[in-house]
Amino acid sequence: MVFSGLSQRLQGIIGKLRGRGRLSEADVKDALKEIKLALLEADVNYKVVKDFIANLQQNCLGAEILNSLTPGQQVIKLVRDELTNLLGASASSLSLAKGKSVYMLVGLQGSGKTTTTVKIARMLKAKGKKPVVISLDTYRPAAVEQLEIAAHDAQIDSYRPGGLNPIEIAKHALAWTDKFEHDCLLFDTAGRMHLDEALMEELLQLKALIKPVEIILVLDAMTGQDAVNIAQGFAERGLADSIVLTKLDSDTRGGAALSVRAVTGKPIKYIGVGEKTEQLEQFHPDRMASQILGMGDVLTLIEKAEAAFDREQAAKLQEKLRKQQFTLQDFREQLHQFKNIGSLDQIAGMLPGGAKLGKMQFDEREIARFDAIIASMTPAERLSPSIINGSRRKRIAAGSGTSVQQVNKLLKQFAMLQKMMKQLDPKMAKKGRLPFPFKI
Amino acid sequence: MSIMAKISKGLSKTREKMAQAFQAVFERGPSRDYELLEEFLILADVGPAAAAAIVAKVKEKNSPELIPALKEELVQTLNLDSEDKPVKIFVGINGSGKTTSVGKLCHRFVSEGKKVFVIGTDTFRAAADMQLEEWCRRAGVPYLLGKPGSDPGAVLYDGLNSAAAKNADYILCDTAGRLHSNKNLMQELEKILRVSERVRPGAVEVLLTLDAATGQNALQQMETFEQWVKPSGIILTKLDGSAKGGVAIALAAKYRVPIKYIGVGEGIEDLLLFAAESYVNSLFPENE
Repeated sequence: MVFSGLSQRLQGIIGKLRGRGRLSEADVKDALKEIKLALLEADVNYKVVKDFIANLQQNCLGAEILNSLTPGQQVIKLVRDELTNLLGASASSLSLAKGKSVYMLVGLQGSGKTTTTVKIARMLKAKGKKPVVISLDTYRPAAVEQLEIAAHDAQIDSYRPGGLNPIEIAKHALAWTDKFEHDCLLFDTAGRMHLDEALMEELLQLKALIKPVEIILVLDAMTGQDAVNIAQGFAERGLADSIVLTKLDSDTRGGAALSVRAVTGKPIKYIGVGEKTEQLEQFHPDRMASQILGMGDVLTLIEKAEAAFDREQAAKLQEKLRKQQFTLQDFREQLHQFKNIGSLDQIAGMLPGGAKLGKMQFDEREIARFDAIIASMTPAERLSPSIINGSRRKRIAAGSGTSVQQVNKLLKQFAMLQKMMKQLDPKMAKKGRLPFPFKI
Repeated sequence: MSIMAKISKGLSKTREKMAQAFQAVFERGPSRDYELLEEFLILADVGPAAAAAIVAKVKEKNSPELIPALKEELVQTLNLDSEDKPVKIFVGINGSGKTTSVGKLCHRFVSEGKKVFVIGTDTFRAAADMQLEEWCRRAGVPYLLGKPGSDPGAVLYDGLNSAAAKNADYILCDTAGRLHSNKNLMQELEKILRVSERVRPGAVEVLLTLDAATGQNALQQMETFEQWVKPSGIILTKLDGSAKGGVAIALAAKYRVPIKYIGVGEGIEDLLLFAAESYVNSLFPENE
């Protein structure tokens, strides 16, 4: 899986943070050091990593984070936000011109230009366009044939005009396509090093001639530190408007993806995920960031939790906690809020000390049962559970479709909860930053 | 052009980058900023782990001259024994330069007066056979190429027998590019190797072609290819770009697999025998 190596590393590091109620400056620094190493091993560019870590450090060591009750979560959120920033904010598709859309694919030798040319043509065709592919690769043996055969297999039109050099071929191709109804022209170019001035000049001439609506830089996802130099080499000459990353079906940790966008500012639009011509996917930066952290669901939960627990209610609850007036009615409201967020397992994962919560073997049905039991109580019983005697228990059990044992269990757990609340550090409660209704 | 000059030329871009990094180290003067040294090794794709190990060793030496100490360490890491077997199977991921390397090595052996036979087993990629055919024509060697869609193992079997009939000194076998993460294709490769071992027991070696621009993923590539076909050598390609090929140092440190040849250009003569000292020397600026 793409990025899986990096995800595993980062999740390990983050896992250590997650369970912590308090983080010291040293904890954060250690974690950042490990994140740095993980990113370098994933081939994220050294300079990008340096900036990334510096930013993160500044944000993480802010008093707000360290003093919050869930510093680990806050740090994770910051990491995710920074990652998304690196990858680019949102997904984007290929640009289309008003009349004929001309595209030129450029890149190093062996990056996957020819295959990608056919893949893009195929995608355009599926969208109802009429693409044609033209090879301008007069250097590599059998490059023209490769494009023709691959295009033919994918039922894409290809054109092989006469001409000795790429400029001549392009001229002929433009004249030829005028006669037909193709509305998307894809020019595959020869692989070249970005340092090869003569060949880069040739690309500039081609650009002036065919006037592409978009020049697509094809980049091997397994490229190392040099990825940014390559991308920059093309981009600063105006020879890269967007990027397609190839070979993402490997186990690359994908550092190139993280670096090139940050350095060149050019969007990654598509990713190649296989040798077959239909294996091209749109690139989603936000999903990729979450995927890297292996925490898509949990992050959604964080957002949901932020939405579900409004500050006023939290403040009221805190007041009650402080005065030790937490009642079964409050408990029930909390249960409802939990249900708004998601499944218990998910919540357990995101809560500080969530692992412990999991061990208490709360299951989903139990929450529903608790809800029903409390619903069957009178307001007086909810306020002071101590009045619930044997006959009241029987009534509540019958009303909620449960048993007396289950009513007992709820009352016992609620008593435990109340006891725990009393033990909560009063200083913490005063700070008014209880992001979650209760802490277990 | 002498070999030294060729390597030098091929690596000139690499050298410029390295020179800049070294300049920075030198400017710090006696304070010997090891961290900066590590940084430049990482920028050369050596990777954080290997870079830290190398810097630690240089530190240990505590020699007054930082550069010679580093050079020595790098040469030591890269200097590995390699053997030469008549049947060479080229493997590697897509676009790493297998076919081009086969063509160049053909030329090299032919110019040494050797008899070469080429077998093309890439029956998957469009026009792969035509590409290899062109290289064989340029080098002037006989070949047997699999038809598109045919079984690579069967092609190899026929090829090895034809080569034996022609008394070839070297048999170079090109294979289809495959990502190491694709298990089915790795199994196919294992079969290819099994077939060749049956026809020519003990005479077969596997060469892994590696794009010099590849980052730390090269370690995973090596790891997986090692599991399936145990490459005995590496061909480091495309060293004429700005990529430093530093991951080869990490590979040598971890897997003790020697680099055998380096590709430094698109011409048929642009494949050189790897020599650790020349390679390391040409990375450093003072050899101008």
